[in-house]
Amino acid sequence: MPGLLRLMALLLLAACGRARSDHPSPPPYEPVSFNRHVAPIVYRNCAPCHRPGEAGPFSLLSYADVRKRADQIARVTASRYMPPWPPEPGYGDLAGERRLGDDQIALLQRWVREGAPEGPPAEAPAPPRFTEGWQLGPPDLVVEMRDTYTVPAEGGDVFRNFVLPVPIRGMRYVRALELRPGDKRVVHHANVLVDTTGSARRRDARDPGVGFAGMDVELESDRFEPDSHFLFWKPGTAAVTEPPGMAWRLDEGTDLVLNMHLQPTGKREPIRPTVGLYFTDEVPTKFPMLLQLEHDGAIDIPPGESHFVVADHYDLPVDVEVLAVYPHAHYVGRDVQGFATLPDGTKKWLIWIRDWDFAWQAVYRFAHPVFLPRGSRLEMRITYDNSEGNVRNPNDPPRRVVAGNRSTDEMGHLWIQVLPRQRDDRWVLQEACMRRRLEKYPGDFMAHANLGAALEQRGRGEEAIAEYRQALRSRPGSAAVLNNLGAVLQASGRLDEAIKKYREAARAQPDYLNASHNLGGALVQKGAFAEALPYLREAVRARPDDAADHNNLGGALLATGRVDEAIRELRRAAEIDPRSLNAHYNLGRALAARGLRREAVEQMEEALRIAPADPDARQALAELKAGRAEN
Amino acid sequence: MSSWAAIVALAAVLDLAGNRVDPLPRSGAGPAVLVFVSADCPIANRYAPELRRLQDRFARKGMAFWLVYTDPADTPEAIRRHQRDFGLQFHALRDPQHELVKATQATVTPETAVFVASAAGPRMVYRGRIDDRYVEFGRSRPAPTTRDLRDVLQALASGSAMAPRTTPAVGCFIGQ
Repeated sequence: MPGLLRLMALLLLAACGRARSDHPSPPPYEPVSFNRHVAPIVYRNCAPCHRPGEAGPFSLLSYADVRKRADQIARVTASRYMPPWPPEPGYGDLAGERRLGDDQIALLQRWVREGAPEGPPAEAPAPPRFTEGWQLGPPDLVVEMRDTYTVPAEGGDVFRNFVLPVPIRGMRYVRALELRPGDKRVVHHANVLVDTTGSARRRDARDPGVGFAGMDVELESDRFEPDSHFLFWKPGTAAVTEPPGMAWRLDEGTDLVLNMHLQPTGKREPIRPTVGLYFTDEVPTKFPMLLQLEHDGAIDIPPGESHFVVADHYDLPVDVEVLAVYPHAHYVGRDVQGFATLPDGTKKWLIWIRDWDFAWQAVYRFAHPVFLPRGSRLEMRITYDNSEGNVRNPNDPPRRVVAGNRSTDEMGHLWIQVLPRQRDDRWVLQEACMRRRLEKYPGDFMAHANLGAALEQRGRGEEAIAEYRQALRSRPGSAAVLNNLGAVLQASGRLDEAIKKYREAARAQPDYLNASHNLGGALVQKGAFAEALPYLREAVRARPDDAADHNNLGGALLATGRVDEAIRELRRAAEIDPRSLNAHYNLGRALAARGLRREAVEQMEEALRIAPADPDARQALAELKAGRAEN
Repeated sequence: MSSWAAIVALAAVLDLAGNRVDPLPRSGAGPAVLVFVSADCPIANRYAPELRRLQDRFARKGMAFWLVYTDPADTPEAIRRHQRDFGLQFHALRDPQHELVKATQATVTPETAVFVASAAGPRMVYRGRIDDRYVEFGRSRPAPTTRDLRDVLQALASGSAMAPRTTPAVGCFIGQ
């Protein structure tokens, strides 16, 4: 059932090199050489980005390349600007750590001090080799932006969102997504979001030019499935395949939304990102969930304040494994901490970034899932520096900073991807999330709406109804909530009330398909077939490839005596979904009503092949064979 | 500030046709603005629009702007392409032996050196950053708070007396 969820992105993360040294370290009297000591460090940790076509501004693929940059390499490795890896070591066991060991840094300094010698040619390692093109091989589907967006030559960083419709029929499971962002020197990072409701598309239509502006995107979501993975790209990361059983669902009519951080280079740069999708037939068995710690409502930082703390917590109602985290703040954020306090009081670090840099934000996956028992408290603590001393401060002189989605606003989020033991545990997690949200924001529309959906899922219809009514108090015209309220009323047997809510939903947002679909279905249930017809037709018009909609319409047409039209719709339903029992059964009845007995028998036999025990189909078939046509 | 009279003959500073060039102003000539760049330095490249603006504003006041490519690997052809890509219609020089680099003690790209003519020969009045947007690698302001080069050129244009000065520049190291 629908809910309104805030979506952020999924993440793909891969190693740009491991950190610990596994290379020979020279004894003090042995000269350091490129071939023996330096090349293995550089080829492994630097070359993945510092090569043609990648994000690094120059190549580091040979002695000549490295020799030319030796002083700079010594400087930026000593300061740990390169390779970029903001998390503090020892505060969370993160996968793909891209960090040099102290011994490696010392060795690079010594090599430069000693004149950056090449060493014996016989010891030269083979130059590094990389996969060209799609890292995971040819994708099953490539989705391209229709138009090119041009990044201006100069100015501040650009935050732009692009909507890419996915041309698939039916539903697919995605095991991997690979983003080719265009010129990697322009694209600093990108989140990929999955929009099932067209909300980004509508937003895009209102914004002139290609895509729409905004550092952060909030999407409406009709369901849980697509938003529980991190899809993220930053330079030097390879595409990651989801773990076994964790493919994610992609529906027909869905858009991918690229939320991109772009950096002007000094000249105009056209970009046209491409997404490669890799499908699988393996049905997912593991269903993660994204928990968001945040307290944007508490962000109100006076100018000059250098230690403003925003914290949030969340008490886990079930056991989970933590798979990944995605901290997010803008330019005034300085120190970002995420940790868990276990029921026995132990503090378990997830991540600590002591010198937050928006430009190097990333999703971090754990090397091994971090088990947290029920009753653990997840905590976020972000410190902001809104003083002149923070050179990244977007305001000069500093000004009051509040939460918002422009670069001069702030945010403080810690997204945590957790895997509960059971799929349905996610509704327990969601309920706790929304109750926590109501503590922070009493009366919050989104919290009441999502809490309603969670309670509905947990079979607590009356409580769900109360939450939806609370949500409607702040947004009486929310089609999604009116529709949800209708659905839970319908499920509780309150059909007339349900129909009333569906009608309000359809009135509030005439293009909101779920409402016309549900209204049609409810009217059918009530036996008001003629009244249902316009809504069912509307649903079919909007979703011409939905077997269930064609079947509903066909059933209502049959019930109102429009037999030929019914046969057409039901044939279409059976053609789209040959495994639909209802489509074959209804088609059998419609054909019988037209007197096409032989074909009607075929359909009933097909229905029974799908569901051999179905009593209605068995009876209908028996009657057909006995020569009694239905009317 | 150290003595700039140390600049004697420039033997290996070349234009894109391979001719020896001396960009430093001799008596009677207007100031010369040298901008050390390299084609593959992202920080230098991001300054292209600002450099264009400064040239538009001050070239007409008798100042000569020179792009000095310090990387011997930047061939005349690569330089022409770079200038075209970034719209930098400046005089371009190659300094493969780093004569100008050594004479000015420039260390990174982008870095600038401003010379005026004097009776004793070319005199450097400024060496350093274009502005303070970059504070160090990985730390930059959303916009500069001080536009050093513009202020220097403005002072020269208005004829005000100016003590020579230097500022630290942040950018890509000029390699050996």
